[in-house]
Amino acid sequence: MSRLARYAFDRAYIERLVENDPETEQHFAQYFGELMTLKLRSRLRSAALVEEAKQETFTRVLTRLKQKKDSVTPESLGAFVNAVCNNVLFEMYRAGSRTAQLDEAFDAPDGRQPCGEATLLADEERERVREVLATLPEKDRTILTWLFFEDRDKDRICEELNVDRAYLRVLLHRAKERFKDAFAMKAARQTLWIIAAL
Amino acid sequence: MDHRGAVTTLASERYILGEMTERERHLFEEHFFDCPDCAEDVRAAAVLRDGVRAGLIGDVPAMVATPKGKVLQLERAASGKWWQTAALPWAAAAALAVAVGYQSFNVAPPTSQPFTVAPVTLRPTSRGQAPVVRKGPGDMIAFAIDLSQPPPQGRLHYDLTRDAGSPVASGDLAAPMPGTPLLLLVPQKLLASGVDYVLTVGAASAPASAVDIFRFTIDKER
Repeated sequence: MSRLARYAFDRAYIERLVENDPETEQHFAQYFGELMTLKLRSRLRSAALVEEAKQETFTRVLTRLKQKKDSVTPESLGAFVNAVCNNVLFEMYRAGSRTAQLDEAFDAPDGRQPCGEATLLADEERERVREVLATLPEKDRTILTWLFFEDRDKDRICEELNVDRAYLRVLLHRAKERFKDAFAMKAARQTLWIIAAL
Repeated sequence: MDHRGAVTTLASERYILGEMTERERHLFEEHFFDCPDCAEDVRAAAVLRDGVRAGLIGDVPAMVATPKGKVLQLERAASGKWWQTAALPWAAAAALAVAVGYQSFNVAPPTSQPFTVAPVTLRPTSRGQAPVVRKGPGDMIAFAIDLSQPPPQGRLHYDLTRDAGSPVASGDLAAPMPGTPLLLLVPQKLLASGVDYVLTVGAASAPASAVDIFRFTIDKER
C-alpha cells in the first residue's frame, strides 16, 4: 500500500491538471485509479474491462476539465470522477455483449491465483505487505485467513469465535487498523525525529 | 452517507466484506471519492484483503474443518530460528532510525545499545477517537503522527499541551518526506498519567496557519 502524499483538491490542483503538470497528473491517475479499481472490480468481469473503464473515465474527466474547468469545483472533483465513472460503467453494461452486470452476491475474483485482476498490489509492494502481515497478532491472522484466503462462511466464523456479525466487523476493523499502523511505521523508519528531554 | 456515518457503521469493512446492498455501495462510493480519510481507509482494507488472498499472510497455524464443520487448530510447524523472524529487521530498522535521529540532533542517546520503539499512531482529531496511551518500560513514548496535509517544504512547528492548555513542549522539526508519518519520541517524564494532551503541528513559517491537531490520553497507572 503505497501511501500517497495528500494533496489538497483545490483550484490550483485543477489548474495544474489542466496544464498537464506531470506530478499532478500522476497523483490524479494513481489516487482515483485505485479508487476506481476498487469500485469496478466487483462489477466488471475482467481486468481489461476495468482498465478500459478507468481510461475512458480519465479521458472524459480531463477533456471536460480542459474544456470547461470552472464547471467542476475543487470540492466536487471526487464526486465528478465518480459520476463520470458511473456513466462509463452503465454504458459498458448497455454495450451488452462485452460485459454483464453481476448480481449482488458476486464476490471479488479469487486473488490467490496470479491474475490480472488481482489487485492494488504492485509487485514491489508485495514483500512489504507480506512483512507487515507477519507482524499482526496470530488471532488477527487467523481471522483474516478464514475470511479472505479460505473464504469461509461468515456465519460459521462467527459461530467459531462466538461473536455476532457486527462484532466480526469490529474484529476486522481492529486488524485493519493494526495493519495500517504497521505499514505506516514501515514507511516511516527513515523519518524519525526526537524531542530531547527538556 | 457522511463521514461520521461511514465511520460509525464501519462502512469500509462492510464494503470489503461485500455486506452492502448495491444502493449502499453507491452511496459509500460517492462518499469515499470525496473523502480522503475514507478513501485511505478503504484502500488499506482492500490491500489487506488482497494481501491475504494472494497468500502473503504466510505462517498461519494450520487449520482443518471437522466433518461437523468445527475448526481445529493444529500445531504450528517447527518454528524458524529467531534471526529469521520478521521482527528482527523491523527492530534493526527502528534502532537504526533512532540512532540516526539522535545523531541528527547531536544528542547523546540514553544507552550505548540499540533499542526498539513501539509507536502509537496519532491521527488528526477528525479521524477517530483519541488513543489511550499506556506508559511502558523505558524513558520515551513513541508517536507516529499521520499528518493530514502534505508537509510543507522546510520545517514544522509543534506544540504539546495539556488539554487544559498548559504547555508541555514545543519546537521546530524538519518535515518528513511526503507520504510518511512524522515520528516523535516524547520523554515519559513529561506526560502525567490520566491526563489528556493535545499536539498541534503546522508550518514553522506560519505557526498559526493550518495545523493538524492530535489528541491522546495517558492511561491511569494501575
